Amino acid sequence: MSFPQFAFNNVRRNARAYMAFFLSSAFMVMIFFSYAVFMYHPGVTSVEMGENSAAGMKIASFIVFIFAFFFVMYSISAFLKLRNQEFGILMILGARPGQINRLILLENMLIGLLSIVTGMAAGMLLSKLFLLLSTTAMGIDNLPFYWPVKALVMTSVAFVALFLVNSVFTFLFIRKNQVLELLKGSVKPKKEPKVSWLLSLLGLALLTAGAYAIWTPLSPLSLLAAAVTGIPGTYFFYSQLSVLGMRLLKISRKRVWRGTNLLWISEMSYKIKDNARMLFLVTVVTSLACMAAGFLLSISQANRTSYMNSPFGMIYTIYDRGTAAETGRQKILSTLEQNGIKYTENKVNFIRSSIKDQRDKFNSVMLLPLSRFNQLAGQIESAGLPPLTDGEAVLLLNPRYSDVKFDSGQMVSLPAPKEGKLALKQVQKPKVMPFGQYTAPVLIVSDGYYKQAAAAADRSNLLEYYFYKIPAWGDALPKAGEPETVISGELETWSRDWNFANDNWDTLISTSAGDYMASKQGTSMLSFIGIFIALIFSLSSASFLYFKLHTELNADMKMYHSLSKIGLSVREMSAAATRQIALLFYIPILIAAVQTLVVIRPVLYQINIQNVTMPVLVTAAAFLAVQTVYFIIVRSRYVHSLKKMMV
Amino acid sequence: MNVLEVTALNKVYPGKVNTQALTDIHLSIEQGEFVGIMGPSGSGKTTLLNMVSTIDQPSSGVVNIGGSNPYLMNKKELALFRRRQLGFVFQDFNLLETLTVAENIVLPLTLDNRKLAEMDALLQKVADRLNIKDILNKRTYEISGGQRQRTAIARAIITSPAIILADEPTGALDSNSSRIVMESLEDINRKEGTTLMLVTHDPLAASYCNRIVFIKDGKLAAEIHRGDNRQAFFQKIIDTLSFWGGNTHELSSIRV
Repeated sequence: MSFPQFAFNNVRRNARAYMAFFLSSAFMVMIFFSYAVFMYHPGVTSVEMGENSAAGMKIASFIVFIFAFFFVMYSISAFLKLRNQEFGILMILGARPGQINRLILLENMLIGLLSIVTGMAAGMLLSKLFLLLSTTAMGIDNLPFYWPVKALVMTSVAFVALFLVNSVFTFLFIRKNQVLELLKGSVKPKKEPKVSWLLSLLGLALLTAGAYAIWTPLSPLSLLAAAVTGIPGTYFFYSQLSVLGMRLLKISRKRVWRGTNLLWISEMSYKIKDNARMLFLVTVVTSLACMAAGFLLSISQANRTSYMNSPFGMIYTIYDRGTAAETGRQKILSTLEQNGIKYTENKVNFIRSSIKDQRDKFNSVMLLPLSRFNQLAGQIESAGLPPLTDGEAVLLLNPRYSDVKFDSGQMVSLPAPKEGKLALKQVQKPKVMPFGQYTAPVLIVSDGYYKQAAAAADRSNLLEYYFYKIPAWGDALPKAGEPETVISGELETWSRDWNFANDNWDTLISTSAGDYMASKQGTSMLSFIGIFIALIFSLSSASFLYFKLHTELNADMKMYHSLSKIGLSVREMSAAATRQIALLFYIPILIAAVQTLVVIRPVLYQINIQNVTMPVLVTAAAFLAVQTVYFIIVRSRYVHSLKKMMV
Repeated sequence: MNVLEVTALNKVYPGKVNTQALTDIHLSIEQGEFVGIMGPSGSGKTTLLNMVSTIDQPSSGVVNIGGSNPYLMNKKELALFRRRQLGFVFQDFNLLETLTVAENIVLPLTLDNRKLAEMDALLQKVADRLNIKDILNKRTYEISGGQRQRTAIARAIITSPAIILADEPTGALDSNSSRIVMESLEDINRKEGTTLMLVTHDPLAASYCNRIVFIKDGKLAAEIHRGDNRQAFFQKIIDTLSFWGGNTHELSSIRV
């Protein structure tokens, strides 16, 4: 038996143990390769959005690579720890440290090469599907399959380097001068976990600081501060606060000295400390994935809400009535009529003005007479308003500008066009501003006041809006290729092109389908990349946990074997083991969900998306579902192995 | 009354070549007896103990403990039976490192969901008997081997089992700790009337028994009873061992 044969047999006969490691590595190679295939696709660079997407994929593959690095490092060290005894025997038989290093290197490279080949082969099959999906996500034409030489080379080089560097790293893990220690395995008695009050308080302070940083106005600096304080805070949470929590749990002997509680609670308090680093890593990874997914989901939900609640399918804004105004309007009318689309046209004249808030800050508003508002009330699903006196007004806020705050009953002063003071009889905050998503708040005043203001206003402050109510549009979300999307897109493009061509910026056509599609396209690529990354993270975190349990299996087998001799039943063993595994699997998800809620809410508030709880919960639930599948698989395998030891 | 009754026990390990580990063993242990099982390596001592411990199935024959046949029970009943009717003392203690001494001792009771007050009372009683009251709150790695074995004995007797099965309890201990452990077992046997079955290599440890059964090549070989004098009994053990063991030099490693 030659040396390489020895290494080969080691892997082959340990195939079951190496399987999870091999499959996870192959999976990561596959994802990395798929991104690479897209990035280097000759068709991508020629498309408008292609280069941005390729850049996004580059970032994604970079993240995958970094993650793969840590993953492989962890897995290799976990396996080596299991094989301490084997190395001890080899050393006693006179193996040189160099020979053991060579053995490890050979084994790792064998698994590495196998997973690279398998991953790329699977990636080839997948890449056709991947190209199809990514082009659909971006809304560009299908990219043909090609022979991805560049991607093949890059993936192999990157991953061979990764396995090589990791193998060299792991040489450091084995203390080759301590033969006795290696032979005995890890028989050193475990130390009782201790809590340092100082570190606990530091952890609490860091978490608080992180939460505080995220609530301050959004800036790259505050996000950085939150990450810098939050991540170590999470680490201290696991290493200190969790031990503290377990200690508190153990205070009541009545609870602990009951059934299998004694077993799993004391085991757990050790494992939590042992596993602090791993739980921390899994939590951070899950949090990041949860945040990314929750963020995208929130944005897309906000986008959907604003589309569904926009009463007018199209808005034509005239900032300054000139010759251009009629051209645009005629274009709209003729396009709609040509396509046989029914519509109602509403012309509304606003007066640009501003009101002072309590802090003496001016907020621009648009004045609208009460009678006109009540005429439109039916179309914007409002109940209409009771009569107003000349000194009263109703303010319609735009939810997009959440920093504009007024209360009903408040007196506001208008400096121009007609100076005056008005009492706010009502302040309404609809889900979506009916008069266009991006318009200023609308101040509804009495007809008398409006007339006086109109007379005093100069021409630049008179705004003319045409609101088109189109019954056929707006019930269901627009899809690419539908008449609504096509016509909306055409008109918006025409308006922009016309403005550019004539250097005239007095008018603008905007459509809610156009707004919706623009926002959707902007986020769909991100979601596509995000979902893949989240998938990898979730899969890898489950693999981490699997390896962790796998390394503990021998010690647990021994423990349960002796316990079963003194009368521990299979069911009790299963209950105790299940509880421990469940806590390891679900604690990170729980913490990650809380962290995501804490982080994502203030960030999204600042870009005026307020409904974040649901999307985050949906994301967390999805993670929970996936994690539950892993949990069931890992638990059954683990309990199955332990069952064999029960006499 | 017989606590343990083994009738016509046979054990064959099937394989390419069948191994007859035990042949036609008959053994009964009365209530309050302290019986030792001795024999050379490979004689079948541990196999017999495993049968009595209910952790291995006999090929034929009947094992009856406290009036019930454990091999007719299902797995769950068997676990409960072991927990309540049998007490175990192992060579390597089998204590849990994550638990304190007190927690290790009450573990079988907590599995049975006993009341806290009852557990505390029993704990104090057995700790007192085995003289380990001072170390109850220590961890198992902080105490000596002898203290560990006494902790294991406390765990075995806290459920007041029908019989205590001790497998080489002094195998990992120095002579002084061995003496203390064996004296504790003898003390429990005398004062509480607990039935004990001890499997050992060590003639010194065996000399604490009332009766010793010798096994050789899976068959019962001899049986000797203790008189009043432990010293004389010890000499008798040595003689029997050298007679049945064949070669006297096999005994050279045994400390006297």
